[in-house]
Amino acid sequence: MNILVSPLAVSAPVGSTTILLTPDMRFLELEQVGAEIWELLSAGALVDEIAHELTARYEVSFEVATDDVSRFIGYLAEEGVVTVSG
Amino acid sequence: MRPNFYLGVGAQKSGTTWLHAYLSQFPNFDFGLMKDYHVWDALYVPDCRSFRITDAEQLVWTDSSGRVNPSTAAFLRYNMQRQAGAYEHYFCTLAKDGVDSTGDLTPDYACLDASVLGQVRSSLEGVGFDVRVVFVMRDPVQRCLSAARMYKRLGWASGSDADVLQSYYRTRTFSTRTDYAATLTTIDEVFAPDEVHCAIYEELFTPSGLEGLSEFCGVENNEDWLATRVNAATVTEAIPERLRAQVADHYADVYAFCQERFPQTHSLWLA
Repeated sequence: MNILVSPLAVSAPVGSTTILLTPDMRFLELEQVGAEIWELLSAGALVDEIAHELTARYEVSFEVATDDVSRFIGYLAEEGVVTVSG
Repeated sequence: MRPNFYLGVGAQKSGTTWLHAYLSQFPNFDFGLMKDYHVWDALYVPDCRSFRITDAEQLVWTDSSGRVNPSTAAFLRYNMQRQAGAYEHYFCTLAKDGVDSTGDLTPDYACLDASVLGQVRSSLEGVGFDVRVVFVMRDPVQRCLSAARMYKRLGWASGSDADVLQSYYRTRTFSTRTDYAATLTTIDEVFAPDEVHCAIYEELFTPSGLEGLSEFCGVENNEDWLATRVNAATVTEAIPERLRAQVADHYADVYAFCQERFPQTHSLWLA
């Protein structure tokens, strides 16, 4: 799976949350885990690398973490933040 | 046909807000969220570092109820300043659905050097734009006076108009933005004459001035706009003749350069 992050997507901490600006200039408020996934994803990490990282940070199995990451990426794809191919 | 990108390079206090409003009325123009994006000046002009977004506090605004909200414009500028390609990509997203012209009218781009201006041009051409430049020049004394009044309005300076003008007209900030010779020399290094429209502020609101601008930008001439002023201040204070002469003397080289290249400034400026 190839994941291309839009150059127009940008995030920053605002107060206690992370705000992500989408390419169509809307804001998404990311929960903590979402923000962590986004940070890894935008740094170029692959799905299984992100899932591994989540298993190290949280009490969660690799399979569940992979599902969560994939679902979050699907959400970002719907928002135009990433393009998924392959 | 390739879309057009209009790069406004000033001068500050020379009608660029009006220019933005004038061109924005045409359905084939879309400048996006802002008039001046402050990307290249923030990155490459030392005087303009204050436009760099380096702190999360610059990304938000507080509404009347005290709620903190993210600012779309600030996030966009932040991204353009830090992520290669974001600037060009954003303008590409505007050029669709009948929009064939966009741009960035940041007056402080007058201070860019030729290598940066060339880089801006190349990166925009790389994503498919034809890049064209608009540069509006105003009588240097009047430009400095208008800038001084802006400083007062923004709370950056206090005192009479004459006091503020006296304090600032020789500063680097005022001088670089009034040095039309330097800006024109830079533009000439990077763009061919037919890619540049140089206008004189004092002619901008005349039928021939508007016609020249409209023709260059490929829009129908709308003379209804001749009487429209945008961002115009009401002037009540007179400036002493001696100070006026001092400022004119300081910018004597700019007057001389412009009179040679734009002979009409001989009668239009210092009138």
